[in-house]
Formats: sequence, C-alpha cells, structure tokens
Amino acid sequence: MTEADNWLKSSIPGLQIDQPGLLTTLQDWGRLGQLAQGITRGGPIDERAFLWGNKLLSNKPTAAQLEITLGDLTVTALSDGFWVVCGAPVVVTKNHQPQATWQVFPVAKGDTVTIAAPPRGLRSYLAVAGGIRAKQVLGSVATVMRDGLGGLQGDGQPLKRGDTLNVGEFAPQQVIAHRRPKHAFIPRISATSTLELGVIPVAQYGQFSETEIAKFFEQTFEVTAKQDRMGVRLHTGQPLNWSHGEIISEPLPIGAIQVPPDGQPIIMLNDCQTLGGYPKIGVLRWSARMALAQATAGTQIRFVRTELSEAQEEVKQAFRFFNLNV
Amino acid sequence: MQARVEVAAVDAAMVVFEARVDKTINQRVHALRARVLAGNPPWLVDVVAAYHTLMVVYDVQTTEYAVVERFLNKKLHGVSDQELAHTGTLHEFKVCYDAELGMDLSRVSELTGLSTSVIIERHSAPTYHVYTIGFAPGFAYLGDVAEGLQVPRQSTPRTKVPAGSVAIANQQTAIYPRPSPGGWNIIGRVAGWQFETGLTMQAGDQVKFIPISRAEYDQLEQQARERTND
Repeated sequence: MTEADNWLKSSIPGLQIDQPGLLTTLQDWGRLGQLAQGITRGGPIDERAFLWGNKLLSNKPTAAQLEITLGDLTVTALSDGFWVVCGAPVVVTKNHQPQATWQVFPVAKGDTVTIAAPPRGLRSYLAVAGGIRAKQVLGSVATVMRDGLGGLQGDGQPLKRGDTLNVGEFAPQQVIAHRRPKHAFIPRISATSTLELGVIPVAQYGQFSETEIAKFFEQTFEVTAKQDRMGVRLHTGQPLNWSHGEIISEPLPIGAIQVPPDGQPIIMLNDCQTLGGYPKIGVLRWSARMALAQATAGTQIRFVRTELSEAQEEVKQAFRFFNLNV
Repeated sequence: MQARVEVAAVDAAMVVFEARVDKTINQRVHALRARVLAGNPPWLVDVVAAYHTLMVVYDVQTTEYAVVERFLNKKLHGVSDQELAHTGTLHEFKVCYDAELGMDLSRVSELTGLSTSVIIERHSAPTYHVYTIGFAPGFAYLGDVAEGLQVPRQSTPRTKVPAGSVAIANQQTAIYPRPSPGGWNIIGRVAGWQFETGLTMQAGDQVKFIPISRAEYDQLEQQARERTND
C-alpha cells in the first residue's frame, strides 16, 4: 500500500454536498513540476484566501479545501470538527444562524452550513480542520476540468449533490475556535473602485510599439463575464495592436497577460494551458493575481509597472507568513 | 549557442533561441534542458521545453533571478555536438490507418492527391521528433510530416476526437491522449492506447508509427480491454 493510500485510508467522512451551487471544486495546492508533460497546475485561484483557511485551522498550508464560485452551496457535516470560510464577503449560516467568514467555527455531525451568493467577489473557500482527502491523481487532488484530472473521482469533474468527502484527523488542541486574522489582514473587495494590478514586463513586451505600451498602462480595462479558472478576458476601448504576426507557441506562466488578435487581453489563471501561442505583454505580480481572483465582470482595472525584485519579495514574504515550502 | 535569458514570470526564467520551428534549434533547447536537469540545482521547480524556448521555474524562497540567469548562461556555453545529436527514448506505436478510425483519410487524400496507401507509407516512414508537449496532458507535437502530406487544420474542429487518434496538421503530427475536441486531421488510431502512455513521452524523444491491419488492431484492443478489466 502506498503512502497516498494510507493517507486516504486514515480519514473519516467529513461532509456531504447537498447543493453544489454554480461550481464547487476540490482544490489543494495543485500539480507542481509537471508542466513538461502538459499538465496544468490547477489549485486555488485565490491562493491568499485558501492559505488563510489552512493557517487559521493549523492545517498543512496545502491541505485540500472546497473552492466555491459564486456561492449557493449547502453542505452537511458528517463528523464533529472545525471549519472556516475565507474569500469573498459572503453570508454563511450554520443551522440557519449567521456565521462570520474568516473565522473558525465548530461544527457537529448533522449541522447544515450554507454559503450564499457573494454581494462582492467571486470565490469562497471552505476549509476543514484536518484537510479534505480524496484519491490523488499525479500527486494532487486538485480538480482541473480541462485536463480531466483530480476531484473526488479523479476525473476532473466538479462536486455534485450527494458527494461525500473525507477529512483527515486533526489534533483538537491545535484548533482555536473563533480564531480570525487581524481585521487589517482581510483583503477588501470592492466592486466599484478601480483595481491597480502590478505587472512585470515579460516576453514580447519589448516588441510592442511605444503607442501600444502607453495604451496598456494608461487605459482602463474592464473585467468581462468571459472568465473561468483558465483565464479572464478583459475589454478596453482601444484594443492593443500586435504588428508582428503569429508567434511560435511558448511555455505559458500563470498570471501572463496574452494579447490575442482582437487586441483584448486575456489574463491566464491556474487552469491555463501549459503552452500559449499569443504574444504576452506582461505577467501579474502575486497580489495582483489574488485581487483578480475576486474581480467580477464590470470591475475596472489599470496596470502598474512593477519591478521583479519587489514582486519576488512580496511572494517570499507571503509564503513565509503562510509557512509554505513547495 | 545563440540564446538569451529573460524574465518569464515572478518565479520563472525563459531561455529564448532563434524564433523558428526547426529541429536543429529545438535540439539546442533539449540539450539545454538535459544540462539543467543534470545540474539539478536545489532551487529548480520545473523545466518546460517548447520549440525555441525553455522555461525554468525556480523557488523564489531560496534563490533569486540573477543566480538562475548566471546558471543558465553558464549551461548555454560549450554544448557539444554529441549533446546536440542526443535523441531521447524511442517510442513505437502500432497504428491502424483504417477509414473508420481515421475519419479524415479521405479529406487528406483529396487535399494531397495521394492514395490511402501512399499516405500510410509517407506518414509511417519517418522517425518523428517530439518538439514539445502541451495543449493537454501528454499531447506531444511531433515533426516533421513529409512535405507532400502536409494539410491545414480543419476550419471547424470536431467536438470529440477519440483517445489514441493519430492526426496531422501542417508539418506536425500528434496522438490525442484523451477524448477531446480537436481540429487536426485524423488519419488513424493507436492500438491499446492508454492516457498514461502519453505521459511517458518527453520533449526531445522520438516516435515511430508502425502500420497494422484492422484485424491486428481489434485483437490488441481486445487484449488491452481484458488487461484493464483484470
């Protein structure tokens, strides 16, 4: 029996999906180091909210959680434990009683928890003490629909009504009920103010004309409804013009800003293809990608140039804070 | 070796060679990849080889860009002819080029003016080079397809191409690792194909297609089914 089999065997039923909402998927930190095989990373789109959930519960930073897009989730606890919901500022209830987000709460077997549609933001993360466990595929349970990998059955399908998920054991003395971050740490999500997204120039940046670069930094872009876990399409009045013809496909990093022939940029997210054939003008810094993870259609954004050293320092500090070593 | 190292992302560097789809250039990419993997620096997270580019993902917690850049520039120097000539593992796949499995054989025949038997002969003659892997897990871009056999992609992609389908588009050929939508021209199917088979291929490897009869295909498929049911 492999370590992964033992890991799964030493778990107990934790929760049942009564209503999955629009899209609820199982996510851990994703499949790392397999891009060369064409395998997408997957993992939480809002990594910051996900990492907070595990931190508040003293889980491993990469322990699997539910990613809930646009709420409307109902689940029943199948064992006693501690849960927390981080991410969008949603209404959460436990047995019809309101329950704060970003705050650990105890659940008893049979409790029903709901997560409503968020008034602002897109994604919520339901973390459970001990972490959710399922059969690993290529080293991860992360659901990647386009690759047909991960999730409860291992085939990349989202969670559906009646699915039951196992959870790992946890040390009760490590969990602090009602634990929450300091208020200042909770990211604010606004649907009305313009988001400033830090960008590092990469790849074909230098081949765009000065006029196009000026358009890129001076215009406001709008987040459209054409978005999913693979990427977010933007819209702007003056599309970006690439005048050098087709490029040869290249490895495509998460956060890259691609410029397709129509000139309306697409920002790549966790489930993007491993290779891309559109020119790239830049790549988002980590905090920018986390902000985009919660940006609903209609959100206005502006790009701001960022130095690589600053972007690296930011991600180093964040990963150190969350104790993440991957 | 003519190449430059650039920033690709917060945690990645890109080595960019001359921008052409060319086997000689691609072999330089793979020679560099082999050197990076052999060097196995502690900060290495992932190495992705494409046609003329190599992306190196690193751990920002333990190193910084300047270190990675220096390492890559060093590895770019003094690559031997032997390293450039190195060919990876040879994968042989038995393919049935049957009109039912290769749904686009007639289209390819019309576009090229070649008979089915000549298409089979031309397609199975070369030992193909794995330029890169992407689009989907285990989807290997193989080349080069013989000039007389090169046909454009379909203008309307099929909504579902069966797993193991062998397809051609322009100078490239590939095997669809999973049932998926696809716009390439399907000319046959690999017998006993498993999703995992695609994951055994690495960029820089070699692929040879061996034509088999429908009877042999059916028999191999039957055997594969029995194995999975065991």
